[in-house]
Amino acid sequence: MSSTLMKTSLSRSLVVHILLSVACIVATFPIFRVIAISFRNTDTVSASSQTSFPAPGQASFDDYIHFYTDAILPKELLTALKAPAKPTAQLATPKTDEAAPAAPKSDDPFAELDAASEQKSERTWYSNYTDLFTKHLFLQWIYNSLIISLSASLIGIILAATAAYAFSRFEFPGKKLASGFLFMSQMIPGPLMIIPVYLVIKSLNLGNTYAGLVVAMSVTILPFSIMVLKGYFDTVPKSLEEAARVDGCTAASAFFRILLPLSTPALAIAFLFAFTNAWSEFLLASTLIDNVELRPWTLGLMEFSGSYDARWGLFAAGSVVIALPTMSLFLYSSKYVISGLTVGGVKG
Amino acid sequence: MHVNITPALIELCKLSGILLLILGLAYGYLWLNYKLWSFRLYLLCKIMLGVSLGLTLKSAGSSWLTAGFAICIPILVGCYFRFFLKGRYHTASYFLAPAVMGIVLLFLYPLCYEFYLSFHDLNLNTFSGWIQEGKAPLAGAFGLENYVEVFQNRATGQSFFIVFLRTILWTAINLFFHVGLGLGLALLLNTPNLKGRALYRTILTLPWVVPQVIAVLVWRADFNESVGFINQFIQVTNQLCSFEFAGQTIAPLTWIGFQTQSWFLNPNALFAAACIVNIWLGVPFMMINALGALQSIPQSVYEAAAIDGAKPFQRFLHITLPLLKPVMVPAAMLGAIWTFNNLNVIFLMTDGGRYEGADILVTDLFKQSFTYYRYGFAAAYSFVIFAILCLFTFLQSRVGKEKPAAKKRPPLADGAKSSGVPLSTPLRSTGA
Repeated sequence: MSSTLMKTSLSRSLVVHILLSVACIVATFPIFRVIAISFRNTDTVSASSQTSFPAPGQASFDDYIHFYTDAILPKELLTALKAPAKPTAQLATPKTDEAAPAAPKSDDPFAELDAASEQKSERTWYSNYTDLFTKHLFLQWIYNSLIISLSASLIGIILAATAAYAFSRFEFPGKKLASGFLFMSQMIPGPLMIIPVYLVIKSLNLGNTYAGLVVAMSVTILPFSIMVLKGYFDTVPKSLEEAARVDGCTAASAFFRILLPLSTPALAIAFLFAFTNAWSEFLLASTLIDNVELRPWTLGLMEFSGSYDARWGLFAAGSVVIALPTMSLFLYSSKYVISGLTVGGVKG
Repeated sequence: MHVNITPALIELCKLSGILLLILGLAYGYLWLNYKLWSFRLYLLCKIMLGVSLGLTLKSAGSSWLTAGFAICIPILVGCYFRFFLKGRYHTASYFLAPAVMGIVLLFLYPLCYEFYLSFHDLNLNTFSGWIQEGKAPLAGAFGLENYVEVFQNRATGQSFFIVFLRTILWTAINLFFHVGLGLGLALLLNTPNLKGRALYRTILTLPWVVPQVIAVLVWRADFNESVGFINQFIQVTNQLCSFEFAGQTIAPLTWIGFQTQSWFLNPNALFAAACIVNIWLGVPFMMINALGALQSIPQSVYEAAAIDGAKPFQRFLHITLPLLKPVMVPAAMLGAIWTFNNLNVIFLMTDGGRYEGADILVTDLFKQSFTYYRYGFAAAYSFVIFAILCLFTFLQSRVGKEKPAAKKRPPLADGAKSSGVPLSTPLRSTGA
């Protein structure tokens, strides 16, 4: 059979494996980086500062190995796991080196304050994570995002499903115009809508509230969800509903009892898309929300990574906390998501 | 560890109450219209209703746009019921009504609003007047000055065509690498009898799965001049791998174009960095699309070709590529639109527009409205971008329609059909 015709030689499969491994390293490199940074007890991104690497000719092979592994492995976590008794003692050494040149400059009025704040916060490998939840409103931000994106995508999907049913099953005057509008709306540049939506939400007196953000987001994701769901509804045979109609179902109950249960996968896809869209949304949120307590996590992380006072340790820890659940959710459903996207979104 | 849970829940209860109320009103409105459409005075009543509503709003101090919208909506609804629906299509309109309400209020109305703004000179000077009295001076003589300024007077100091060309370059580079690398990886993954395929595929999907904001910010941290990993990596790897050749020290990474530099201050480097990040983000989408299409090509087609004496390269050229086309062309088209309109990557890489010189149209638009507060100008600008995008899509769909007819291969018609199968039963097409 095929195995005789398409035999792969050993060398060829070796090449394939090597190429794929390289691709895998490139694909996962920033993920390992962010995990590694999140366990650093300093706020820098790098393990070793630029000058500390030995000059050419002096660097041993070990130095190189250390450089590459330090970049992607959470060193502090590993040492803490190996010797849980004294993680702080190891970590204290680089800190004193850094602090030493700063101490003699006593004419700096803030030196004492700096030193005090340095001493007070004894940092361990997990202190970025604890800081995130104790010193910042990170949990509140996650909660906000969760509430906003869940309700926005729920409302969006309910509206989209009914509209997609009408588009898929019924003829009505102006249908072509409406589907053309839906397709065109994919091309509208994002910032276009922000100012007028902001003004509308303000005039509805919903500025700086969850409700305003929810309403705005659920409508923003509507066109895309309608297209995905319509694409799927078109593939469900019409005869199923017709049979139900013959048996005395109304159109509405045929929709709710026959079509919706049959298209749970597509609904899940559309929901997931709407959810992730709202989950990582920051443009609308940054214009509609001023209150720190109402922020979604995107704005919080962006604040941590600002260019003038970046706190990369906090940022990395926050990213890990956000990304791990999102990634596992997506990996679990990725094959459904992508195929559903191609069938609905593209074929329109 | 302090979380305020109750305010959100209370607000959501309120929100759902409002939504239900609106839904009820919408259905009542629909029902009433279906009852009344055939009366002789129906249209007249609608016109009077619209005009009175509009005038009330106008006297209450809203802009002409809002008043005009209020006048038009009842009249349009009346005309639609009278001349198009004629009492039919009950079910369809009941199903459509909620979505249409949302879209009209928060999509169509803002769109008209923006269009209206694009003819007015709205900036920080005139903004308070706009909010209080709903008035802003017309831009130029016919209100077209904003559209002229898009091509001439720009606060960023970069001409429209430079930014436009950069956007084209951005889209082209990204699309080329997305499709090329994605197809390459998919072909590698599709090697027969590959061990650990599921694992490789899962790992390679990861960049698509990470929230985009996080991925871009992590990359930005690594592109940092002094503390980022990229510069150190270039330095150390050059040191490790450099060798003497013809009297010169050749550092491999520098030789292929990478060097340690301040990535954010040099516009070209910033643009390159943004491209790298976006390529990293976008390859998995194309890869999984291509893999799904590849796996749906039946092995028997290849076997038949092999028996007929086709070399591997010929099989790729004449079987794989044509059968990939129906999946990859729409995916690439979608990818092109997404890349063209991709605000996130460049916006976050330039730290919200703080670093200049790598803006594409969308981020430039954002900067014009939120850094320079030229709202009227930005409105005109956004419609110019929208028009460009529509033109591109139109041309692309024309080209896409003509090609398959010209390149039809009769012997493969059967195979092409079988590649269409997974599209109609989508949920199995990418199963391992």
